[in-house]
Amino acid sequence: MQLEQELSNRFGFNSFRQGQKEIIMDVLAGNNVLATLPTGVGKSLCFQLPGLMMDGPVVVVTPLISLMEDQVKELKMKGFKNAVAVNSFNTIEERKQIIQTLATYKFIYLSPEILQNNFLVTELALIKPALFVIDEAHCISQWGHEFRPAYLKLNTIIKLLGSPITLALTATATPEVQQDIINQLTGVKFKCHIYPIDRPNLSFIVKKVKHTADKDKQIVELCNSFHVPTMIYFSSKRETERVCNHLAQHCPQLNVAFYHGDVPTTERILIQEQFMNNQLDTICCTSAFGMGINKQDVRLVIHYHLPVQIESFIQEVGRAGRDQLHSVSLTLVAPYDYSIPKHLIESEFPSNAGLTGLFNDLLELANQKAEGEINPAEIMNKWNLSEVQWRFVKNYLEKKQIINDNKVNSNTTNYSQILKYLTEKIAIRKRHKFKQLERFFSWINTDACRRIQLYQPFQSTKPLAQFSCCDYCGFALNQWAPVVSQYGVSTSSWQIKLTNILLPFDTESG
Amino acid sequence: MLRYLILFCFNRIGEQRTVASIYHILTGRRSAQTIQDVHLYQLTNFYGATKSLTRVQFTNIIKELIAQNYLNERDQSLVVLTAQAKNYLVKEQDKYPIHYLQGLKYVDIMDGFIARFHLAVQTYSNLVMKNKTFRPISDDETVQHWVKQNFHQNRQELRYWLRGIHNELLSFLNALDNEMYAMLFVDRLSGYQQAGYSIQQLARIYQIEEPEIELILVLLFHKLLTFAETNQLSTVRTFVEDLNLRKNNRFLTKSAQITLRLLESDYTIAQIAQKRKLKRATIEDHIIELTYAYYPFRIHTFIDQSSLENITLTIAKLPNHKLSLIKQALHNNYSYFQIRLALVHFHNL
Repeated sequence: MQLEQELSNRFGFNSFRQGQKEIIMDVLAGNNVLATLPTGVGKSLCFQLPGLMMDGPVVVVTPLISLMEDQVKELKMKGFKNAVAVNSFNTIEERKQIIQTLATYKFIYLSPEILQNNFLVTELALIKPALFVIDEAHCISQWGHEFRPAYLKLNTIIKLLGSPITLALTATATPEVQQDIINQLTGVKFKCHIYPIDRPNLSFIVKKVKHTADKDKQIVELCNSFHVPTMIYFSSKRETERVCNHLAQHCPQLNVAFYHGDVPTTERILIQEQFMNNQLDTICCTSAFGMGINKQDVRLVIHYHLPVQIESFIQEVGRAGRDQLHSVSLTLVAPYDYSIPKHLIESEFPSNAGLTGLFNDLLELANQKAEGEINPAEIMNKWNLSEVQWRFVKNYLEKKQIINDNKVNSNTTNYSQILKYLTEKIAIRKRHKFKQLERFFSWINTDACRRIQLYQPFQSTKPLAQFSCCDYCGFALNQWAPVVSQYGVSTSSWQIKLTNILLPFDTESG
Repeated sequence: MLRYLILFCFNRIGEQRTVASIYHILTGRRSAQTIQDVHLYQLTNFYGATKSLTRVQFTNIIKELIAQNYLNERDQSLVVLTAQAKNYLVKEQDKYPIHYLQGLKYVDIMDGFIARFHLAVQTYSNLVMKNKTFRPISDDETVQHWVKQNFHQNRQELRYWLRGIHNELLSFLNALDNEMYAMLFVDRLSGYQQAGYSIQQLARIYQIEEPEIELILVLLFHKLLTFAETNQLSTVRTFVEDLNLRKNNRFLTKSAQITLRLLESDYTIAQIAQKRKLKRATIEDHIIELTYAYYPFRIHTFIDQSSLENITLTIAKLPNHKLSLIKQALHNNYSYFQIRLALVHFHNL
């Protein structure tokens, strides 16, 4: 009862949603909690409320800068001004300022990479965090091993911070991923709160086509018949642009734009805002678009390309129908599509030749006994490593004491052993990833209910459809009658547009 | 318009400088050579007019202009205008208002002006409707800080501020000779429940290439600022009040600033070159740059009055100002450095 009172006083809500209260009570009782909750249910409340009730600051580790900044903004809007985001976008001055005044903040949002800064961690330890939150905790398993090794170091960080109560939150974690999170954070004894993550208001369709032209044709037809907020996911930046132009040509009524990591920041913000304001109905995007975008009425999520794992797929379709109205996930698959994610996985790891060459170079440097400084740009260039690949290798080199602080450690000798270990490690990770991918492929080719196949591994209860279920269960797009959104694209004269923007109060009353 | 602008620059420069030098001028490269070029060929207004133009885009345009017989390729780095291009420049001169551009004058304040303007419009428009959940279209902290301060000053009179800027923009947009410019300008604005179009979208809607759209938008903001100055638009002017216009339309590269400090401590050219481990010619470049910026900055330390007059008189008689030609006409009696100093003097007469 008391907790509901706190909820109402601090956030103005009258009741908790599924799972929130149980998680919060466990945190307040001093337990470490690993929790899965479906997207859009209010995961952040699970640490914000207990955080406010505890003495000491809350440290929140978040994978994306945009996500971090949205949350800080949201907290500030709710009246909690003492929130701050520390990330690589801060200028040195800003960061200095934040670190000097660290004790004045209640919520400190950080990226795992920033936590590699020893000075910051020391300062954080001094203010004795009460709660350590890992948001989107599946990243530990999904990204930690290759892209973002900093995630694998959180275990050490928690200890350095005096082992505060730890809360790991995620919306997508199979039992396997949950176990991986628990394994990586060995020092922490978790109580698990696992809630079903299925989305009863989504219907699933997978369509097999012969080639790209078929996909384009299908999409044009869809966009012409359903005037609803639509996201189309691609794994290639160039394809987002191509299909966007194709749609603009063939669907004259459609408001379409593309979005990917190379679009300049200002332009990206404009596209996002247009999508939020219903000035755009269709957005052709890569996975760069999505996290942190909280649009309630996305009706249709199309996968033009396949993501590399089922978790990404679940996150991406989870952006449809947050308002609980009937929404659809459509996946288009052509025969050669299966090779794209395979190729993407291959490209995450360095080649054997590159690895061997790199090790020889390092050995030579070590033999010179000069504590030689290494030059990452040179190494990446010489052995043809991408940024991601280099980060992966570097993480292991540091772990095995071959390099420290960008310097070759001349005391380490067992190079061939380490090389062998690393090569094996890569083979294992690749096998694991291919296995994950196979799981997703078998979902694509399943001849059983798609909903059950998709969600069952993540939860113990049976997922149920609120509207139509999936193509296997008899759903087809011609049965779909979505709520059509109002679009705000104006064809007025510039004078009227100018008035609408600068004197919106006149427009409303007139 | 971009093509027109490029041809215009080629016409001014003649055959004296390379294709790349025009690219540097248009993208506002901060080098002594480029600064000197814009003064020498009176292209100061176009300095930095298309900052985001990529090398590839520029090269493609040049290739097109050559294919369409507007430019003739002399060799790898040198092109000349054809008769057709010269005709075109005369015939179309009223069509493209490139005289709106005030490149060098505004080079240091333009980006700040545009970002502040857009963010302020978005902020006021949303907050007057009590909508606090918009995403700022500029994530630049300094811009956000400025808008916050500005908003704070006007928070009691939001409607008054908005009506003010509305009137000022109406008078500005109505004064433009091409209605399409007004449409483009307004379509780029973000406000309550309305985000502006991206460059890529504008390109599609108006069927104009992206670099061209960017040029038009920049040009309109240049015009807005001059319009605000001449017509006393007080709201628009607040956006730049605290931004420093460069004195005399000129500014210095970092390296030249260091040279200036050393000159002020009475170091000689040779001493500076040695101290900075730079070539003598580089220091001379700095001095030319300094002379443009602070004419008549110590010009007599480097050249005596009679030499200066002698060279200037010769320059005035010559059909073009190619350095080698001037040197020849003076029977090789003066160094290039002296001739360049005299050229600055000549341009400031």
